[in-house]
Amino acid sequence: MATEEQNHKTIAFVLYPGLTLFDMAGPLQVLSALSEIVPEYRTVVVAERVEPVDNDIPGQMKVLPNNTFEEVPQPFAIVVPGGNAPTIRAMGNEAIRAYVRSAAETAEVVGSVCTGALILASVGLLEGRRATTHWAFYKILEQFGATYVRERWVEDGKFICSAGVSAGIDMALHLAARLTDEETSREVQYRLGYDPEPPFGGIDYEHIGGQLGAARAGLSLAAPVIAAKPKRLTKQNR
Amino acid sequence: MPNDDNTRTIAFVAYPGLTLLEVVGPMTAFLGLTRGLVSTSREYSTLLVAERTGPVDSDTPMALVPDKAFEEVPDPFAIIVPGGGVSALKAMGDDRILDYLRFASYGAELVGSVSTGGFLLAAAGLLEGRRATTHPSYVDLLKKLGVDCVPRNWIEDGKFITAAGVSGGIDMALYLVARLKNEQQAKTIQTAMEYDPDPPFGGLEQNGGAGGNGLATGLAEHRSDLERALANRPDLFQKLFG
Repeated sequence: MATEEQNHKTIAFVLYPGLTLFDMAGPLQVLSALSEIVPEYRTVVVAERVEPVDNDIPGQMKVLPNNTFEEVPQPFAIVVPGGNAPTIRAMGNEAIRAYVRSAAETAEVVGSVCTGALILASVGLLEGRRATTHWAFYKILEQFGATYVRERWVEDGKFICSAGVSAGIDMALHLAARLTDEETSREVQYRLGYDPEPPFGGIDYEHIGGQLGAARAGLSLAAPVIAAKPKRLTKQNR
Repeated sequence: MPNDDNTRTIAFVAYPGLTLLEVVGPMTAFLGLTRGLVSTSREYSTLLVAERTGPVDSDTPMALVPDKAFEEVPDPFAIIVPGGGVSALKAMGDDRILDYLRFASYGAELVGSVSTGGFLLAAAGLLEGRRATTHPSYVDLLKKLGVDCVPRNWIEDGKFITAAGVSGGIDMALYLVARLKNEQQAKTIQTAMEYDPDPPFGGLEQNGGAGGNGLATGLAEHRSDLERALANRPDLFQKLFG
């Protein structure tokens, strides 16, 4: 593994139970296609153990990582996907926190999709930085001292965060261009057949109501409580 | 996991080398059918089905572990076949997959594919003379199997619905959420999954057809592999590459 890491620029995707699978699959698909075109890069999926992991899709379908955290200690890049309640739990999981903290220290790119930003923030990585997350969770991000920006993706230094779920695809195409060039990123886009035409148009962010609006309001109210434990853990580690 | 007799099952057909996001994208959009905001719906479920329930490699380092084996899901409401590039073409030589597609599609109300998944439907004899689509660089190849193949984001013909690629699969699934439930539900899941796409360099039209030559080169490289994989279907190999 050490030689693999020396010979390649390894992009490690952090897998944990209950994640939103699309958050992982979007950028993993894009950057794996990049690695086929530019073999200097390689993607890996890392988790605490190499065993089937549950996710947000109802049913028994699971996903299997290909490496443990210990096997990929110093990746070139890490990408952390998000989720709902399981991501909030992951913010307090010491194995995940320790890996994200140590891998981010040496990585040249540290990325997140959706509420994956909350995991980065929960170990203190986004303090004072511009960042984004899923629109419903922005108050929690702000609790950790990040400046929330409602954009498809936001870059600040080596950190790059995307908005919710499918925004990870757009972020990864941007990242592919940054790592190589625009032409290569377009080639990836063509290979994937990514030419979106949502049948009912885009999203009207000014008028999110109903159950989704209520969910956002509830999360905003609960933000200080949700952030309290990870903040305490981060302080202890300093 | 709801398993009412009344639950309408949307079965995604897995095979080695499938494109991960062409399963996960539509399945996530179908959360608009399978999951309420607070609980799992009993009306619809999505399942990943395969020959066996052991892990199936995708075209990324992450493998998928299916819900069920083919024989456990004999009468799904819908089947959807994801793409997988050359791996999808190779899977055309697997009789167990084609038999499942023929059998399950007979009673299914909806039969769909994403990208090169259309080749598996065609190899099973399901798309003959039908309007369908696939990945833009495979359109001419799919025509060779008697499919009236046109470059579209997605296209419907009777109970068959086929999509072009990663985004076509998501767009098609959102459309199906609206058709099977209602437009409001489709918009709600779209908002929850923040599907407000903004490709950094625009769509593929602005893209100037980058990568169009990749397919021809790729297939030439895999010719002998494909010949081996399709050893039991020389007719298909001949039509496609003869």
